[in-house]
Amino acid sequence: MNKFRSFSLLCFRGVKQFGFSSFVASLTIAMAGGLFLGTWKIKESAQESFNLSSGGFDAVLGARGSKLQLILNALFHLEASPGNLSWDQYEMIKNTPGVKEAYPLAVGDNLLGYRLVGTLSSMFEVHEWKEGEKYKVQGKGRIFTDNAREALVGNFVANKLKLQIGDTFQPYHGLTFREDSKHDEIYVVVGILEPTGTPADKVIWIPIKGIQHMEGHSKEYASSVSAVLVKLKGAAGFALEMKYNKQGNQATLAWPIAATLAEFFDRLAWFEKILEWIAYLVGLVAGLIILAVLRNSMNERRREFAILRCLGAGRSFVTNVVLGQSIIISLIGATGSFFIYFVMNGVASHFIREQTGVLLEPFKIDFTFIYVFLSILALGIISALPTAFLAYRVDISKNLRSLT
Amino acid sequence: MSVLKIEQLKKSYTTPSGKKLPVIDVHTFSLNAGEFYGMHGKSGSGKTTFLHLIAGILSPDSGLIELQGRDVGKMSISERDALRASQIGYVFQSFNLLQGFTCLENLEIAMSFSGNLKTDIAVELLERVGLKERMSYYPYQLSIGQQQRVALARAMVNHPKLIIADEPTGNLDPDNAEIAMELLRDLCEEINITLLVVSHDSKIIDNFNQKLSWEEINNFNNTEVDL
Repeated sequence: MNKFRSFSLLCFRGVKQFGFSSFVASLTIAMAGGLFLGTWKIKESAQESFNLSSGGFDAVLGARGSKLQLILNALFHLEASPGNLSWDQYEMIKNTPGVKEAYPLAVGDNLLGYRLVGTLSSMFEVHEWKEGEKYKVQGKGRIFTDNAREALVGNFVANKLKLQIGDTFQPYHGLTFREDSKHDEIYVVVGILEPTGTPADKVIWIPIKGIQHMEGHSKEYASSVSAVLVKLKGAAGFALEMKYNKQGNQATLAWPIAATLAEFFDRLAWFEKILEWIAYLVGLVAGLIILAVLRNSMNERRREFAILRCLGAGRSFVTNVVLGQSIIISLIGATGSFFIYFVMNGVASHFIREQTGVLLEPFKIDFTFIYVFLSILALGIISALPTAFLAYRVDISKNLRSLT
Repeated sequence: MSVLKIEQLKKSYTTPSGKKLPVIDVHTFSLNAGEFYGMHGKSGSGKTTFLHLIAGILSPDSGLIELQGRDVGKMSISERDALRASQIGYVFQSFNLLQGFTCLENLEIAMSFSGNLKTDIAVELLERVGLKERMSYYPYQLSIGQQQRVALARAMVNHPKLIIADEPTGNLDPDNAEIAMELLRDLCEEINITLLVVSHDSKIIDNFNQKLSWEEINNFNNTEVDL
């Protein structure tokens, strides 16, 4: 224990003595570790959150085209609708055996850039967006009536636009805001949804008839829908996929949603790879900086180690002092990397929430963190080995003699 | 009873051209327990090499170095480390204090290697050399004379059997040199330690009853070596 006290003292003083270089080394390690965690975890966390944000639906039926575009448009309210389906097609899938719930969606208008999505009030009354959880309306608000010009506002939009119950607004035509495209209809806010952390927070819900019959919309709109959100019973998905995607040519069924989303995230793999390589490079630089810091400190510490050896310190003791110093730098770097990841995760979370309404999974420790932590420690130890070897071989006689 | 016994000790260095250069050739040498020895010798004549051999810092080419009945030359490196930690105190001309550590820490670190760290003993010793109030000072905050007193305390702190002092007054003015030598002798007497002081300054050696001449001890004393 006595020796351990001296050992700790020597390691910490070594770091303090070369404070600035140690700080730079720790910072570089933190950047490399943070980048690794960011690369691996944020995408994984985003994918997980997107999967969880499918609002309790199993499939989306839409116009013939890309499944991904269908999902992004109908579930995440991103991109344009690939086309429309007839109301009959909605009725048909609703009445198909194996379909538990089906809700039509219609899009095409916005309020200051936030989408208006038309649907049926039953979606808010019956559907469970998460197992056991239905949508809840805040305070004295209520769900819109299907035949009225009423709006149920997603929590995120309500906060952003400071909308309250009783407020009125006129929708704008199109999915992007243009000041000169205001519709004549006036809608009144009758309710604000409790936050769900899903894309439902990011839109203004109105009766589907509102979109279908909005002034200025073509007559075809009145009997068509943009997509249908479907909840299935049992293994109906296979049969429906066969019916719509393999045998039919009128519509596309995006099912299963997670598989299509995985394809989307796979498209980002090249970017992930680039970030990963950058992280490797920063990690290499961090290792070289540790090496340089310890090597430079060794030039000044040869005398110190010779004195220690003369006082009775063993070769392994001075070797461990070098390794210990590197481990301290690495530990500071590892802590910094978690902090950097935490900040990156926060920024990404904010950005994804702003764009999609999806709330990223909160910061949770898992095996990746342990892996990064151990890798950083290994990097520190490996980078310190050449200098530790020099400390092991320090010539006591020569280094004491040069000063006498 | 002898603390140190040396017989037929030889040490040579290899020059950059690959030639063997003999430095030490000592037939017999011994130090008795509890006695104080002053050894005079010219600068660059191999005295420090001889002291490094005694302390197990260097290995001899041949011969016997017996400290407290154990052959230093046959010890493993770790055994020699342990020997230096517990049996030998070393005082240098340039003090060789650990610069990034306080006076007290310098003593505590030395104690830790002997496995016997007792802060109160270290404080007591610093009080004995008149530096208790400055035990939290770093070496650079002390005068040269005070630094040498810390170095003396550090050499004594493990109560070794032998103190080797290599030009201990070389960096001190005459007044501080006298204080340091008096302190060194007093401390060795109090703890009953054998003292070997090596100096090129004959005035320092004249104060010892047991005077030794390095030129007479070492057969290669005519050779000027700068090692």
